[in-house]
Amino acid sequence: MSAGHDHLLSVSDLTKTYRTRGGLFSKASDFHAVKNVGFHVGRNETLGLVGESGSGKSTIGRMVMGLTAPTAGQVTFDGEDVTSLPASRVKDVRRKMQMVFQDPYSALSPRMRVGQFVAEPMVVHGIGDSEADRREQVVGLFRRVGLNPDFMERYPHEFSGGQRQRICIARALALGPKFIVADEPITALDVSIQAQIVNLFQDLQQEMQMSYLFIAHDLSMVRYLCQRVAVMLRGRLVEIGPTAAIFGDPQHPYTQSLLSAVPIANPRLERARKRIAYQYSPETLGNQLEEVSSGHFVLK
Amino acid sequence: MSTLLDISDLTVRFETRRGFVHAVNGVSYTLEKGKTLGIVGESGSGKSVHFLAALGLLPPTVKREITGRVLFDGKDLLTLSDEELSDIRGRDIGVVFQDPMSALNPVLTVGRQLREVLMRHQPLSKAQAEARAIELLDLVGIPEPQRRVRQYPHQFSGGMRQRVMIAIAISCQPKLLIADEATTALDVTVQAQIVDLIRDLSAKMDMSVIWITHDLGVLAGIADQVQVMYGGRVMERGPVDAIFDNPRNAYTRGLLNSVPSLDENAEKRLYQIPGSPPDLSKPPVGDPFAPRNPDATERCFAEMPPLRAVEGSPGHVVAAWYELPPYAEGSR
Repeated sequence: MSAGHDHLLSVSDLTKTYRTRGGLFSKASDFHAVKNVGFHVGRNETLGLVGESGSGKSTIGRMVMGLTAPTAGQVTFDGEDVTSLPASRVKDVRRKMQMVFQDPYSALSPRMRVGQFVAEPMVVHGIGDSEADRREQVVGLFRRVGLNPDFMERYPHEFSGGQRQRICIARALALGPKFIVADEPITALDVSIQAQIVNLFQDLQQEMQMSYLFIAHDLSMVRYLCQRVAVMLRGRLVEIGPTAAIFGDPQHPYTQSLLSAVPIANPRLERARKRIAYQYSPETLGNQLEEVSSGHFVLK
Repeated sequence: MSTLLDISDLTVRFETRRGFVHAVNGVSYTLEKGKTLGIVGESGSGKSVHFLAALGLLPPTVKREITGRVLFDGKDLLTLSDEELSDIRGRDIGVVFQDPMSALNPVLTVGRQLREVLMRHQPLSKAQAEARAIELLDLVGIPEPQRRVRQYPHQFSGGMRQRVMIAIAISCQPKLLIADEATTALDVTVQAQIVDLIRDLSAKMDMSVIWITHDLGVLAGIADQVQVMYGGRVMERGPVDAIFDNPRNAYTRGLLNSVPSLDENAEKRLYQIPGSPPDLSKPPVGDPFAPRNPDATERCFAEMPPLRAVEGSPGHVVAAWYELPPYAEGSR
């Protein structure tokens, strides 16, 4: 479905299988954390990846980043197959893709000054002519994510959750990436801070022509931020399409059920909301992705 | 209608090496029998600490000072002995926390943990308690309760574990159930089931509920009244429709606006509340939200506004020195 286009990222037949060990009374078996998943992310585009815990969304994020080796399948980034890169190319490609995690508390090193933490990728990749030059760049990164550069010499414990996430984003930007995998980046933040971080992601996209894979379970935020949405269930991609099509005309019974469960911050609509139940079975799951309207695919 | 819970001027201070942390600052509210009060707030708002303090559930090592009055069913919980309080907890007041895995004992079966609570508060034999445990698991919608009652917590999924926690919390038919971010860690489909379950149980058992969350959407469906907390204070309280249709406090309005509405997309910038929550070791003298409120007046910084009635909106109170312009959801 992505052949012939100039997509920044395309993923095809991505599969991750874990072999469970057999015990005295049980046979060894294969568990498909992710099975035959394919999608693409365009330039300057945000793809939302949703689904319940255990549906495989984080595993996909990690395989795209090369942090988990796929059992099968291909990840192509900027025209290059990153699943079979020669070691000499790995570092170059990594510069262009970065990750932001859910928990900004454990992502930061408690004994490293935050300025140093942001500069570290530049040191690893040998960017910047000198310490002073890198420092100059960190000042720019701090400003870009809305942090006061005077805070560079401080330690993580002096920052709030929202500020820590800004620090993590500054680090992710240090190498000038084209693509960021954001795995639940606002889930651990206070509600009044979530909007700040979402707006920051938007601004960065406009300023730097960035693409995102935005993994989240808050569907109202996904709807707001993403141009397209992919829905996962038990390791399978069950539906993918433009945000308006997914939210306005969901086709897979699981997507319908998922959307009907989202609470609405309006008492009258919320009291009237009808939930649609979904019972998982191999029959209701479907077999083959079919295109139901332009760019809108459903597992049938 | 009779009052089950009457909290007045509840204040909690923690003593730390860096001085006092003013976690709860003069919180007062009442809850009627059979009603659901939704409390919304973020970390540091006092939404959890105030009830943990009232129920004697703060960690024993933390140095604290608790003042005020918490009348539950006519008794002041703050004057009770540990023994008396622990009689009330589990029997008259059930609590469901966010993380069922750390609230359950991993080495005891679910049935054993239910039996313990039942036999602690009621004169039941082991067999009677076991039968009641199975009934309770069935009541909260756990399939095959006879088999499940003999299983351990790790054999349950997150949603099923939270159902077990609810079964334990309601085992003695409490008058009050406190759900503290009870669905925050759950998937949205499971959350919807748990919300329905608690709503049904509340109606069936005429049980009052305090539902603490940061998710306004959940409250819209379950609460009769909504109370908004910030910086250890009550900022606004009223009937659920009044709070969503006509918020009179700048923080409430900011919260409502920062949630993307259904017809919004990214062409419009999301409303963001500037700044970050207050440091409660240096509590502000005035309105704690003033530094983040673009419309704050000089008085907001100087003096904490008391809760006052909102004209033309029965049962609706707000802490604000200012008057916000009329609120129209469409004009965000």
